[in-house]
Amino acid sequence: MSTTLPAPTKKPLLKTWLDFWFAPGDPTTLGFLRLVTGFIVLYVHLAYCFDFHSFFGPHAWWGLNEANRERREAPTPVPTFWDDKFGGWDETPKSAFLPEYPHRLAAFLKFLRGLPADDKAQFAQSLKFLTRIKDAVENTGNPMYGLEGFGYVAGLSGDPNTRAKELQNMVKGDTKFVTSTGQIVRVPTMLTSLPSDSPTNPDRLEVAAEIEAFFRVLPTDIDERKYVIAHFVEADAGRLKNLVRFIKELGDLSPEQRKELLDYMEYWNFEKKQALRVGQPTFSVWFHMTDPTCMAVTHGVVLVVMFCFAIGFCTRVTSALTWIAAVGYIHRNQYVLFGMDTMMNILLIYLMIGNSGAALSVDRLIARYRAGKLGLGRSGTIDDRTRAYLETPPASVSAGFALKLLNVHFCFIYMAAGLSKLKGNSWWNTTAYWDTLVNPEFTLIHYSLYESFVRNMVWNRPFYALASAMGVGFTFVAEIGLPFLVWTRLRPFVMIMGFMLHAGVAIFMGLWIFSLLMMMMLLGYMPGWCVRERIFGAKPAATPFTVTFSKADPAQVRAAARIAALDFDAQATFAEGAEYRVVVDGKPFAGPDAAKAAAGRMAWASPVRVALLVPGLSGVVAGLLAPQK
Amino acid sequence: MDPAPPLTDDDILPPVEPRTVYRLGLTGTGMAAAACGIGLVEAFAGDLPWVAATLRVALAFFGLILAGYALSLRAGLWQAWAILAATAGLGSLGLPNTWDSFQMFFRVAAVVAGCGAGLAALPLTLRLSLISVAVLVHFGGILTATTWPDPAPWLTNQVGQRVYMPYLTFMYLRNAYHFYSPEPGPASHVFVLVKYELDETDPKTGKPKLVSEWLSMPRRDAEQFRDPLGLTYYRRLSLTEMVSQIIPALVTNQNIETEEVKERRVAYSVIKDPLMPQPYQAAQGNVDPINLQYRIPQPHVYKYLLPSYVRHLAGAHEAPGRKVVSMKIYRVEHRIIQPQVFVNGGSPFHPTTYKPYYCGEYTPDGKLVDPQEQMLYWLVPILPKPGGAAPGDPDKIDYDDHMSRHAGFKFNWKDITP
Repeated sequence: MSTTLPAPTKKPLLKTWLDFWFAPGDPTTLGFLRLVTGFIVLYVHLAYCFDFHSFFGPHAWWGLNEANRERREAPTPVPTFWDDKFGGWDETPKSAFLPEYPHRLAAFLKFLRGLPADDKAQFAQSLKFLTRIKDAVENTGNPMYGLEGFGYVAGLSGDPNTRAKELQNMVKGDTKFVTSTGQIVRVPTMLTSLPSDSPTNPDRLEVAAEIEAFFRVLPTDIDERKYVIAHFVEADAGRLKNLVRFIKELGDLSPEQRKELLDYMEYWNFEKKQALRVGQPTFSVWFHMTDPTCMAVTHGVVLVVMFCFAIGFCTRVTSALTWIAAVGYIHRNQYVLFGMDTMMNILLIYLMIGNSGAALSVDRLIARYRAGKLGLGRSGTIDDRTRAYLETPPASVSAGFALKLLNVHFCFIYMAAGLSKLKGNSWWNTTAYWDTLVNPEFTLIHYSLYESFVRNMVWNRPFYALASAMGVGFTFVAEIGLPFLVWTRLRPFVMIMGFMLHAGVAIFMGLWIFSLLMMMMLLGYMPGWCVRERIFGAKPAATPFTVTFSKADPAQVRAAARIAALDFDAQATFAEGAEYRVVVDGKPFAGPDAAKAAAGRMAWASPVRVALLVPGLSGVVAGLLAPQK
Repeated sequence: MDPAPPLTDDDILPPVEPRTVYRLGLTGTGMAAAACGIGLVEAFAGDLPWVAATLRVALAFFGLILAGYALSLRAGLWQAWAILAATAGLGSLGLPNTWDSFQMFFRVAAVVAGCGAGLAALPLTLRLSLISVAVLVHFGGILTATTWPDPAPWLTNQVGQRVYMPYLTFMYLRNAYHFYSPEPGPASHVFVLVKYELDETDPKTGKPKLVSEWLSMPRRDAEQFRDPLGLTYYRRLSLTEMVSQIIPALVTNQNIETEEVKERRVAYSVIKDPLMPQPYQAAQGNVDPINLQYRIPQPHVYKYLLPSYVRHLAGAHEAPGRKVVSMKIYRVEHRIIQPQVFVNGGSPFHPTTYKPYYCGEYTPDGKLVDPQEQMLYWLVPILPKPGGAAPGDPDKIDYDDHMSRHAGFKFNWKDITP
């Protein structure tokens, strides 16, 4: 006998990859996820009924006009990828920027809108001094040129005659002047370097004309002029260059184009043509529907679709419709969202990709009925292949694929959540634990019993310190450890840790739905047989019954097939006979009694058997499980 | 006699006939085409009654649903995918232009269905290879999203903005999953002082009577905590958290505006509320450093979000005989009580744990009344009263509520204290 272990088999990487992603999987887990997630999603959207118009109406918290404007116009800025001069290291945004403060923005826009852009010659002249300053700053890399240049303009008098004298003195060679308020204003270095040996000094005369032309297009109000000049002063070389370029380009536009451009700049403070893309690819019926009745009807239809998805009816269609609807609500009002919506969306995506209706669903029930009907009609009994089909939903590649996608995505979530916490001092010194215990808006601290409990716990500092260190440590181990350990034999233990973590979040933070959804994602690691065992338990082999039926009578075949479909615990034996009978403990039942006998015998129905007392319901059961004449 | 051949999967549950699938799918395509037809008629004949637009929408949607249902019956048929792609494409043309977001969605659906048709037609090996590439691309996007919060790597910014942003936005997969990190942080409330003008006349002034009312959000009362699991409450908490996004440390920047901001703040304390400490002063050890006292919101908050909130509230609170005149908004951080204070009997809901930041006074149409108001974006503190509550004070007020003084109307702290 060999005493050495067999050499581990090494699978090719490609086969490993294919086996991981595309091995057929048991859809029971996916079906269970669909069932629970579906009802959670239904609850979430039912809860919207309380605030429906506040969240989705035209005058919602996030108004429809703002929402539509955002999705149609919002610019996507993107940093430079590459440039010849700096190899991609120049991080100056390409777009011009206007002031953010509302009063300064208003002043600057007034300046821009007031530029004589339709008179090309005047427009060019009014921007020459601005260009001169920009060139000086850009060529020398010295922002002082901007400070001096704009400071000089700011110091000039608003009175044209006084200003003319000030400029004339500059032409003559003065290096400074004193304003009416006693402030000393120095002539900029880039001007003092110009020749001043002649009374007319052509260069200086030219500059004086440029300054005058620039001053004339500035706002006449002192404060507004101050804000405009301040914006130029505060721009670094790169931003000043873009700003001057932007202003100059206004002269190339028609009045309508200029208005559109400046309106866009006023709203978004970004140049449309510098954006990588404009608008957002979001969709929602609530962008387009504002009539309250239409909205109410549509919301009602959505709830019905979500219910159908939860119970697994036409799941391939309702799963897609549920995701489209859920994302539509999300896209309409992103300001009411939190982590729960993120997790809900992730689950819905993967439930849509996989055949989540293949188990624990109305679709599965219908499939069982159809398979039973075919089998019974073919052979008068349930053959082995059909029995196997009825016993376990067939494994499918799409179920396995969707579950793997969910599993891997969950690893990303936990890893990101865990590693990002390492950036925070409060997690390192464990005070984060305190925040999660007593945050007044989240925790139970508004209950006096809980408040007393926490007060008693924290009074004993060593105990509290130990508890908080353990709490923080547990969080890190669970979040950072799970993505690695869940693929090993430790899977059950890390899953339990995950459940405990989210149970804690639910109880102490009040985030019940978020925690439930996270637990659903954790359940994605559970094998299908485990889910089936937990739901259906052990087979009650001691309580069989027999159904006899005539294969020649389609009504009897259908009734027998319905029993086969509902026989989740494989208690029924089917046999051909002259008439439709249900035999329980040797006693044959016919007609409606046969239906009641079958329903009464099915182990899964025992908790709800009392429902047969409801008037009319027993008639429905009889109609289903016994042939109708 | 030869034994019967073993049953196949198709014998257990026969798949739907391709003809049925095509018939259903093409019916859907026909509906989408009909929507296009109505659109063409409208393009040539001019505006049609509103029923036409509704019909176009209904035909496009139901056509797509029907084609999708057909596909769900036999997803292995590339023809079914192609029919869905055609239906989606026609549907995007058939929808009215007012439904632009769904025109975009239908185009995306057409592309996805077209890719599905290609995949279904390919041999298995190639199909699995392409799906594997799609999986890698998808998780590349998820990885990009998780590394996107600041400070993001240059590579994430480039790849994210240039490549992944449309996909992640469309699918709502942009979350970075940085829950409670780097720091858990306090939650935020929004307090709004609404001023109404009534239809009746004030006998003292002869002008319409003005009344004020405080609104606050979120609250754990029947009005805002309406469902058993508190979703209505947490949604409101999200609304208030969105307003708390600020540009940090602006007041320490040296520019003209920030100098004026400081001067206005000092002037307010000197003239209007001498009891309020200056920004640089410590008061009972309960004032933040100056860079935390001035918190200007992110541009999208003060430009778009706050005005939208104002317009919503104005519409929601107007009533016959009562017109909203203005609203003063305070963003209130509810700081988490320190353990040492809690142990000594401190309450997590004491008014001094709330830090209101004044976000401005707005007209009902969302316009900021005074962008240079003295306390705009400054902390309007609630400070411990020196010496505690006054003797004989039945309410035992042991705090100085500068927010109420600034607002000109007393805030009833008991409304939000459990």
